[in-house]
Amino acid sequence: MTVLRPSFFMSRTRDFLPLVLNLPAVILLLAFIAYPIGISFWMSLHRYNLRRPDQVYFHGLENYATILASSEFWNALWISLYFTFMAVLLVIVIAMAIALLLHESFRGRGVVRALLLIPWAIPGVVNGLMWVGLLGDYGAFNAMLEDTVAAVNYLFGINIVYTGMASPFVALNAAIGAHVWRSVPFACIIFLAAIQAIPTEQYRAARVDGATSWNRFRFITLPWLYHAVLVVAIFETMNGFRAFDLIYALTGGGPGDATHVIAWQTYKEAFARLDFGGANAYSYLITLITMTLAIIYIRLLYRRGLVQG
Amino acid sequence: MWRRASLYIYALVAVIYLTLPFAWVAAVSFMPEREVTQQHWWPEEPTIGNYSLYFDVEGQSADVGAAIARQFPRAIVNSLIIGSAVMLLNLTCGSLAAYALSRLPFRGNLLLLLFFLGSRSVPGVAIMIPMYLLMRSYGLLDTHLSVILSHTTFTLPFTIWILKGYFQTVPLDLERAARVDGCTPLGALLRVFLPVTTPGLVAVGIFAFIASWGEFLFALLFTTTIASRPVTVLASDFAQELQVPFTVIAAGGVLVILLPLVLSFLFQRLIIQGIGGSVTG
Repeated sequence: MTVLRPSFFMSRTRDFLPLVLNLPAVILLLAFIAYPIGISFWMSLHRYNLRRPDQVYFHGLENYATILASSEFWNALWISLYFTFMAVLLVIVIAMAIALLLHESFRGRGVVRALLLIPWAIPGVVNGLMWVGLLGDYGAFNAMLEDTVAAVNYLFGINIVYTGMASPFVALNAAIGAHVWRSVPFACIIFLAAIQAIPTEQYRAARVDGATSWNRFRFITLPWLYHAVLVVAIFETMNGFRAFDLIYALTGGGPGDATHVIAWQTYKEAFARLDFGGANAYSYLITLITMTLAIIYIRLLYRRGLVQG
Repeated sequence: MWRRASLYIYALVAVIYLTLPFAWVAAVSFMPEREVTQQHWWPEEPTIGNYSLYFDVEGQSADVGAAIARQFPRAIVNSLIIGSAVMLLNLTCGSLAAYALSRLPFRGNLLLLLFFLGSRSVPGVAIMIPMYLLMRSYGLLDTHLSVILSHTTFTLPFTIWILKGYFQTVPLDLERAARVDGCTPLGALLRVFLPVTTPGLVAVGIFAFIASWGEFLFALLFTTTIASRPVTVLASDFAQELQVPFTVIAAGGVLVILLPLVLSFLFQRLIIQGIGGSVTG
C-alpha cells in the first residue's frame, strides 16, 4: 500500500509558486525562440523558394546535402572559424591586459574605468560605419597603415603594395579588429570582477616567498581566472559566429567573398536569393556549430569542477 | 619610480586604444568636408553644419540624403519607445524568474536554467526567417511591438542569468525576517528584496536598453517605414545613400551613440559591478 506522505502535497504547493514566477519568461522564450527554431528546422527540410511559391514541397535533407557540397559554405565556415578564433584570442588578451591595469591603483584609474565602456556603448552597425571612415581613403587608420607598410618596405627592401580595404586580407582582419574593439569592454568587466575576487593573502604570501611578478600572475592570477576566461570564451565564440551588423556596414561581405562570414551568407541566402529552405538549413548548421563549441566549453568547466550541477 | 612611469604609459596606451576610433569620428563630425581630405586630427574651422541636416524639420534642405536625415528625430523616438519597453519587460519577467531560481528550491530548476542558457546560445540569424513569417502572419511587421518582442527574447536569458547571480549575493536573513513578520513570498519580494537589489536591477535594465538600442538584424527585417524604424537602421540606410559626405555620416553616428554613451557613463559603476560580480560569482 502506498502511503502518501504529507510532504508530497507540501512540495506540490511549494513548487507551484516558482513555476508561476517563471511563466512569463518561459512563455516569451518558447514563443519567440523555441517555436521559431522548431519551424526553422521543419522549413530546412523543404524546398521553399519565395520566387517559386507554387513549388513548396518536402525533400528531406536535400538542402543540407546541397550546402555541404557547395564551396560557398566551406568558404564561409572557414572565414567564420578564422574570424571567431582570432576574435576570441585577441579579446581575451586585450581585455585581460586592461583588467590587470584597472586592478592596479594609480591616479586617474577612475577616468580609464569610465572610458572603458565607450566601445561597448556603440551599436554594432554604427561601429561598422565608423570603421568605414577610419579605414577609408581619408581615414586616420588608413594613413597609419599606409605609413607602416611604407616603413616596412623601406626597412626590408621589399615592395608590398597597400591597397586598403580592396585587399581581402586587410578587409577581413580590419573586420576582426573592429569586432574585437567593441567586444573588449564586456570581457574586461568580467575579468576585473574575477581579479578582484582573488584573496590578497595569496599575493602577500607569494611576495614573502620572493615570487616574481610574472610568477605571481602565472601561478595565482591565472588559475583563479580560469573560470572567467572560459565564460568570456563562450560569449565571444557565440558573438563571433553571429557577427552580422558589423559586416553589413563595414564590408558588405566583400571584397569578393573575403568577409562572407557564415551569418552574412545565411542572410544573403534568405533575403537576396529568397531561398528560405536553404537559408534555414544554413542557420541550423550555425546553431549546431555554436552549440557544439558551447558544449565543449561547458565540459571543460565541469572537468575543473567549477560548475556544480 | 620606473614602475610608476611604466604604469602610466600602460594606462595611456589603454586610453588611446579605447577612445581613439570614436574620438576621430567625433572630431570629423565637426569638420567641413574639405578638412577630412586633408587628414586633419582636429577641426581647424569647427562647424556644426553636419548636424544641422538632422534637425531640419521643416525640410528646406535639398542636400543629398536630406529626406532620410529629416526622419532622424522620429527614429530616435522609435528607439526610445522600443528600448524602454524592452527594459521594462526584462525587469518584470527577469526578476520574477530569477527570484524563483535563486530563492525557492523547486524540482526542475536546473532544467529551467539550462533552458534559459540554451536559448541564449541560439544565434539571431538562426531564427530570423521563422520570426519574420511569424510577425507577418500576425500583422506585426513595421510595428514597435515586433521589434520589442524579438529584442526582449534575446536579452531575457542574459538578464535572468545576471539577476540570479545578483540575488544570490543578498543574505537570506533579510527575507526570513520579513517572512517571520508575516509577509507572503511575493510580499517579501516586493517590500524587502527589490529595494535591496535595486543596483543590480538598474544595471541589468540599462544593459537591456543599450542592447536593444544597438540591435540591428531584427530591427532591419521587421521595420520598413519611419512608423517603427529605429535609429540604427536609419543610420545604415543613410550611409548607403551615395555621395553623402562622411562628415555628415559621422555626425549621424555621433547622434546615434550619444544616449547609450551618456547612460554608460552615468551608470558605469553599477554596470561594472552588477554585471561583473554576477557573471563570475
